[in-house]
Amino acid sequence: MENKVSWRVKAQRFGGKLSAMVVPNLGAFMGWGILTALGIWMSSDMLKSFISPMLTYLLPLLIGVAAGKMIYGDKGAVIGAFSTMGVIVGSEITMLLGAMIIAPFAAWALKKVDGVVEPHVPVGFELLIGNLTTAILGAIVAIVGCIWLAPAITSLSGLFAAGVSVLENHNLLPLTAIFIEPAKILFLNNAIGQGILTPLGTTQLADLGKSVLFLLESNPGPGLGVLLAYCMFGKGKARANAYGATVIHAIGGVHEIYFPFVLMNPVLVIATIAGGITGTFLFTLFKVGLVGVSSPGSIITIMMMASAGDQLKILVAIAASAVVSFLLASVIVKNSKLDEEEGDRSLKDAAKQMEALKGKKSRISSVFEDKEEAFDYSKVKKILYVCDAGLGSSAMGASVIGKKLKKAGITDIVVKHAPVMNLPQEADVIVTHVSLGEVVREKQSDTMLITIQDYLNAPEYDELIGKISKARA
Amino acid sequence: MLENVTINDIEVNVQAADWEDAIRKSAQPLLERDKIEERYVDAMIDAVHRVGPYIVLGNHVALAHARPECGAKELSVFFTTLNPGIAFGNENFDPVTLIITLAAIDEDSHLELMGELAGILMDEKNVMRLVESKTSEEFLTLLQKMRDED
Repeated sequence: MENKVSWRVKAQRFGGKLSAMVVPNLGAFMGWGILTALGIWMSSDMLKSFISPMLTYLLPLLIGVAAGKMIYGDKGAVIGAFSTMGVIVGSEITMLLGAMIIAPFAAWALKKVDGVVEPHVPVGFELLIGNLTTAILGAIVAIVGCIWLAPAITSLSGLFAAGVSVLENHNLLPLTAIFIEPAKILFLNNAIGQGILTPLGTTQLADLGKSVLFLLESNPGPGLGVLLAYCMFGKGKARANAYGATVIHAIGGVHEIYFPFVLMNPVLVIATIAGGITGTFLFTLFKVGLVGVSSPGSIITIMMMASAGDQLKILVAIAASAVVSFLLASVIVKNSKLDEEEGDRSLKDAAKQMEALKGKKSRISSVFEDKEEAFDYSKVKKILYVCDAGLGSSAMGASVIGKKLKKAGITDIVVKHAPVMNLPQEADVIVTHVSLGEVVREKQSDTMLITIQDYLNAPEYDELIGKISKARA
Repeated sequence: MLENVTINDIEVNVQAADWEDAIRKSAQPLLERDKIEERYVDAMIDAVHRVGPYIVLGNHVALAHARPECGAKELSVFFTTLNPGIAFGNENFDPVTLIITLAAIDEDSHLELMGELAGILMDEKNVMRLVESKTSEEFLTLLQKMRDED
């Protein structure tokens, strides 16, 4: 049971990371959706000329920036975007998924390389060497992405496509949702919608005058159900975001906006699949179809493209798929709340156990309470001293720690200083004045934080160095 | 860089009304020599209003400073001892008796100085002896001696 919980918590965390790459960029996704919708509606060539370059370059690059930044601050953002170009250049399809894989990897690799190189860089060369590592590593990762990752993702979307067409050929159309819905969450929606369903649907247009295939991916019902479930039963930020997302999704037709909600809790894909199956089943039962591509997949564009007389039936089918998806998603969202609490509890238990083992209440136990595992002092390689301006008090404090480390015979730990506005930054331990503690925690909550009062003689310095020496011994 | 400090970079036994006044008075010489702009002084004070007395280093020493882009023109440092000491609102280390005003022009050119100062100021006895100096000359002699000892 305990394993199961931790697995779920892990899956949720992983999903949280994925959605963290997308959520900061939702504004851009929506903006792109608006340009696309207007462009198609007004059939303006000027507006349409935005669609493809933004989808091909801007959106994946933005994801690359957010993903890189999440791992390794501003440096990570740069190499994230840079390496994303590799998968973009190496592929014909939109590389949002590619960006979500290659950018965090590149940032992580840079973090590791910097960790090895930095202690050996002579004073004054930090900037030059720092840029060179980004440049060289970025170029290597971009090439690797272009040669291997891009084709791999292209074949993944080909796999989904093959699945869809097999089901189509065997008249199992409702089951295509099993491929379409997960593929959508992985941002392969355009690849499937425009790459497969549109050409197939267009050939049906010639024979039947309308095609149901245009409805498979553009049906906003499944996503709508998930968003409504978050509106009703979600909590915190997810719930607050869900209201606006619902409108943007259903009316604006920008489906990308609900993907993060599913990514946060990947089990929800079951709800969207069920919703998709329901919708497509009803579409085929009612024998409805669209006379052209509905892009974006908004209720309004779907109504505009609906074959004459089919409008009401289509609405009923979309509503039904939303209801089915909503019912399942509600159960999952409600349960996941419990999971999170359980997860939190198990973490707190671990922290308590650790205290018991140490035999006394640790000074920094409050930090452990929301950390996954006990802090390993032997792995400390970089201490970051943070202050408001980032050059006076922090530089002073950093040099005091540096002197003390030297005295303790520790030479392979880098002590750097930074202004609080430049956080998050890569570091194993952050030291700052108590008056800045809260701001630092807000900006970089996942790094061990030590707050001091006395820059010159803080007892915390000796304590930290003592713990490091002890952990290494 | 501490070896370049002269008696003109030190003022002893300055009297101030409050911490703001103390910072202004200790920054005045740098302002007159065109090492900093007027707005740099405001930025130093503003930071304390915003964040709190985080510029108080400990041992009754305050390091008055702001970002380079706030109007620092040349790397420079000025030492001011306050008599009587002034409360900066940091109950552990009030009253502040020594203000070091720093104008840094980039991220790292002043680091050597910070290192030297840290070595001296870490020892509270050093701070007490510096603050007891009756003249700039005495302060300077002590400072250089402490630097060589470190």
